[in-house]
Amino acid sequence: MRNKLTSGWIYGIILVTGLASCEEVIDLDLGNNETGLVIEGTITTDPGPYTVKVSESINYAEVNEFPPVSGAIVTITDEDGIISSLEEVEKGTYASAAMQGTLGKSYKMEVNRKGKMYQASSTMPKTTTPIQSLAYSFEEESLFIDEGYYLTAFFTDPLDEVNYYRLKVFVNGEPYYFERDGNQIKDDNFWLINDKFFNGKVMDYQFPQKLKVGDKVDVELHQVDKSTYDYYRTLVELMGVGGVAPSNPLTNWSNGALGYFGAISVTYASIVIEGEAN
Amino acid sequence: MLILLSITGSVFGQGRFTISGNIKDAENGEGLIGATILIKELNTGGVTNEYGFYSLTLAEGEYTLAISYVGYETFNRTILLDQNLRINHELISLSSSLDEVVVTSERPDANVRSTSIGVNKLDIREIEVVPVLFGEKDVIKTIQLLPGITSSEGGGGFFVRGGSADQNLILLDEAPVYNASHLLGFFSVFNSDAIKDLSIYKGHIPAEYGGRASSVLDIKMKDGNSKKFNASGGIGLISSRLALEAPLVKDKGSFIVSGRRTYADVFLKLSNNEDLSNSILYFYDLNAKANYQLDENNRVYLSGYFGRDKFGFSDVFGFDWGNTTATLRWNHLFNDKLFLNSTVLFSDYNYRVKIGGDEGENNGFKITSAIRDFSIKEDFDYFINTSNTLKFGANLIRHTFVPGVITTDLFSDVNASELQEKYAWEGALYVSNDADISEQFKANYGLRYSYFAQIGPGNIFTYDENGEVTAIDSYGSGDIVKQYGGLEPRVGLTYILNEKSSVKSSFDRNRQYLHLLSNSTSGTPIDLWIPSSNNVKPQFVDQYAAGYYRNFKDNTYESSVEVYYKDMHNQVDYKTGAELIYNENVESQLLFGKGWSYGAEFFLKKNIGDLTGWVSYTWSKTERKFDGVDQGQVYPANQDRRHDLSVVGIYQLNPKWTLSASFVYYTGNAVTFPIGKYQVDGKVVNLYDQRNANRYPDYHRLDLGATLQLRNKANFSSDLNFSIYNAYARKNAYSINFREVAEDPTRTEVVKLSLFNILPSITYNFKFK
Repeated sequence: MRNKLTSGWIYGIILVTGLASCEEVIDLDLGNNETGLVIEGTITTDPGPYTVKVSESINYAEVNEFPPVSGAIVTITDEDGIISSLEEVEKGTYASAAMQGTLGKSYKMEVNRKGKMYQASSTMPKTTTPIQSLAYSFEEESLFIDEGYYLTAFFTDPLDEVNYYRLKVFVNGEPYYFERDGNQIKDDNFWLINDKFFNGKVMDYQFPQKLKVGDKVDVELHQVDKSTYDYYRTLVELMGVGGVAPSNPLTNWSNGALGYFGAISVTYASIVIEGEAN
Repeated sequence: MLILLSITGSVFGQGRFTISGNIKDAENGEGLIGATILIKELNTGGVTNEYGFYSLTLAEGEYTLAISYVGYETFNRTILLDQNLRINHELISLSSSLDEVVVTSERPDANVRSTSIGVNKLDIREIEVVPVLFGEKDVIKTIQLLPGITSSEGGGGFFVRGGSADQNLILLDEAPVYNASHLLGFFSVFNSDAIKDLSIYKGHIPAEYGGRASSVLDIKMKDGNSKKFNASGGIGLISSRLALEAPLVKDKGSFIVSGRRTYADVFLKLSNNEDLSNSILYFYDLNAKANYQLDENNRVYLSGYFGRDKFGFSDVFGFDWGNTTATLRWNHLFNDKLFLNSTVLFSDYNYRVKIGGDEGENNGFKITSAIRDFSIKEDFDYFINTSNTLKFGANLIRHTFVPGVITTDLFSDVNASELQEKYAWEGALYVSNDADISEQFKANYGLRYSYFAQIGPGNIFTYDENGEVTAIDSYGSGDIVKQYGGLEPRVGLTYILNEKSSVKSSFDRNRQYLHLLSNSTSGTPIDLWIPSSNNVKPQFVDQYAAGYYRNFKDNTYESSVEVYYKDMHNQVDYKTGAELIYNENVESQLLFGKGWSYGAEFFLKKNIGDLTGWVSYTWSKTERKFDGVDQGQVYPANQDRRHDLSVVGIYQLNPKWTLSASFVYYTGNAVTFPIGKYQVDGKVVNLYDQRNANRYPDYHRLDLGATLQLRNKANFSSDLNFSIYNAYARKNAYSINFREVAEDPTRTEVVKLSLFNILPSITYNFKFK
C-alpha cells in the first residue's frame, strides 16, 4: 500500500513536471576515503549447503567490480550451540557443510576478518506459507501497464502472528527484464509485502511483469523475520527515491558491516502461460 | 502582569481628551492598516490597527492633524480638542498610474521609526508585478525574495532564518493554515485577489502571536467594497480568477467573493492519449468575506476560505487535499480608548487517497487523514496615550488530529482500520506594550504564557530509546495525559539616532507544541502534524537580533542590516528507515536534538520613482546536533544556505508599460550523496556516510515580466501581463539521482533533473468598477 501511495505521488510529479523537465548526466566529485565490508548470507528451510559472500565497497565512479574478501573465518551457530564452520570455495565466497534450517530456530553468523569480529542473528519464521495458487489474466493497455498477461499469486496470511514476505519471480528460469525508455532493467526481485493491512486475509499479490504465451513462471515466497524485512524495506527505499536523508539500510550486522544475514522459510509454485485467461 | 509594564507619560492627567476613529479608502471603503495620524504641534501621533481604528489621547488644545498613508493624499485638519472626538476619515488614492509603482504602504520612514525588527510588509500591488511561474502571482513566492526567507524550487514550504518549514505560523484572517501549498508546492493557496495586507515576522514577534517557533506570516483578507459593485478577474495560462465585491448596505457593510481554478485538466481532456485524457489534475480556491457595521461601536466580520487540489487517474487512483478555514469576528469599542476584537475560528486540513475499486480488482480502499482546530480569541487594544498602546488578550484552541483511517470496499482484501485520534488543548495569555519611552527610545515589550495539554480519550504508548513500547496507559475522555507550559518573553527596542537612522535589537522566545513529520524536504500533502505528547517535547526557540536602519534621499531609499542568532531546542528528526506513513507508533520513529542558526541580512529598497525594487542578501549558517545522527556529530540542516541573493526591479517605462525583473542566486541545499557503492543480492547499492555532507549545485534564475495597460477608464480597466520564468534557461537541479547506466549495467551515473527551461506565460486582467 505504501508503494502504491508513493507511486501515485511520483506519477503526479511526473505529470506536473514531465512536460517541462529535462535530465542530464553530470560529473560530481563524490570523493571517497573509506571502504565498507559487505556480508551477505542466508539460511533457509531448503537443504544447504548455504553460501556467504564477503566483499568490499568501491568508489562511486568506478566500474562495478567489487573486490571479494578472502581469508575470513565464517561460522553459523544455531540456538542449541551447534557450530558449523564455512569453507572458502572461491574468492570471497564461503560455503557451509550439508545442513538445513529449522522453522522457529534462531541462528547466529560470525565473521572474523583479520581479527575484527562481525555478528548477526536472525530467527527462522515459525511457519512456512504455501502459495495456494497462481493465476494470470490478460490486461489491456492503460496508463500503468502494457497489454499482456499478468500473474497473481494467492496465499493465506496466518492470523495470529505478524508476517513479513518477499516474493521472487523467474521467467523461463531467469530474472525478468523490464523495458524502460528502450532499456532493459533487470528485476531485482524485491517484491515485499507485510500483513499490516492484510492480517489473516487471502493475499492476492499482483506482479507487474508482462508475460506472453508459453512463458514458464517460477514464484518463490520467502517469509522472513522483522530485522531481515527492515533490511529489505530500507534497501528498496534507498534504491528508489532515497528520502530526505538517505542512509545505509538497517542491518543486523554488528561493527558497521553492510549487507544482512537472514533466516528464511521458502515455498515455491510454477505456472505456464497458456493463452486462454483463467 | 500589568506590573511588568512601565507606562510612560502621564496616564491620569487633567484635561485630557481622546480623538479616535476609523481611516478608510475613499474608493472602496476598505479599512487602512497602518495609516498614520500625526499631531503636527507635538510631532507625535499614532497608527491605525488592523481594522483601521486609531485612538490618541492628548491634553486639551488646538491641534493640526495630518492623516497620511503612502499612495494616498494626505489630509490635514485643524481641531479644537476640548471634548472626546470621533473623527472618521476616508483617504483618496493618488492617480492609478502612480499607485502601480508605489511599493510601501506605511509612512515613508516607518522602517527607521518602528519598533519592529525582522519584519517585512509587502504591498499587494508589489506582488502583482513581480514575475512568477506561469504568471500566477503568489504571496508566498514573493516573500521568498526578502532577506532571511528561503525555499527550494518546487517546494511548498519556506524556511525563515534557519527554522524548519513547520515553524512558520501562517494565518489567514487569524485562522492557521496547515498546508499552504497547491500542486506539489508550485503554487500557494493564497489567491492575491482576496488579500489586502500581509506581514511576515521573522525576528521580533509581538506577544499576541504564538504557537510556532520561527515566524508568523499574517495575511488579511479584503473586506469588500462598501461603496459600489466591483468585479475583477484574470485569465491566465493555467488558471482563471474572478472576484466580486459589493456593499451590503452602502458604507455600512460589504462582501467579497473570490475564486480561482486551474484548468490543466481541460487540456488533458483534449489529448488523444487516453491516459492523459483520463487524468484529473486541478486545484481551486474560494475566499469569501462579509462585514457589517452594527453601530458606531460594533462591527462584525465573517470570512472563510475553502480550497482543494485534486489529482488522479480515472477510477484507479484519486488523491485530493485542502484547507478549510472560517473566522467570525466582532469588533467592539468599549470607549474611545479600549478596542476589543473577539474571534471564533475553525481550521481544517485533510487529505484523501483512494486506490482501486475498478472492475476485476477487489482491493479498493481509501485513506483519510486530518487536523482540525476550533479556537476562541479575545484581543484588546488599549490606547492609553500617544506614548503607550497596550495589547492584551487570551486564546484557547482545541486540536483534533486524525492520523489515518482506512475504509474499504465491501469485498476488499484490505482490512478497514483506524489509527487513534489525538486531542489537545492549547491556550495562551499575553500582554504587551508599544511604548515611546522618549523621543529617541521606543520599545515593544511583552510577555506571553502558553499552555498545552495532550488529552484523552485514548491508549497512550510510552517508548524507550529503541522505540519499543514500554507501557500502554488508557485515558478517558478529557483526561490530561501530559501538559506543558511556559513563559515567552518578547522584547524589541529601537533607538532613533536621527531623522534618517536607527538601531534596534530584540530578544524573543517562541514555543511550539505541534510538529510536522515529512518524508521530503519540500513538503507534501501527506505530511503529518502531531501534537507534543508524553514522548515528544515542545520545541522552543530563543532568538537574539540586532539591526541598523538608514534611509537616504528623503526616504527614497531604505536600507537595513540585521544580524541574528537563534537557539533551537527539542528539534525533531527521523531514525534511519523511519516509517511515517500510517504508523500507530510514529512517535517511536523520531529523534530529538538541537539546532542553531546565525546570519546577517542586508536589504536595500527603492520606494519612489520610475524605477523601484530591492536588493536583498543573506549570509547564514544553520546546523543541528542529534545523538542519533552520525554519533552526535554536528551536521548542516537541509535548509542551511550560506549565500542567498535576490534582486527585484520594477520599471515604469511609460503610462502603458511596466517592466519587471527578478534575479535569485543561492547556495545549493545541504544533501547526502553516496560516497561509494557495493553489491548485495546482485544489486548495486549506494554507500552513505555522513548526513548532509554534500551540496546541490548553486541555484540561479532570472525572471522577466511586463505589464501593458490596455484600458484605464473610470468604470473599466484592463491589462495584459507577460512573464518569462527562467529567462536564460539555467538548468538548476531539482533533484540529483544516482543510478545504473541503463545500457551498461557495469557502470553507474549521476543524473540531474531540472525543471522549467524558459517558460513564457500571459495573463489578461480586468476590473469593472
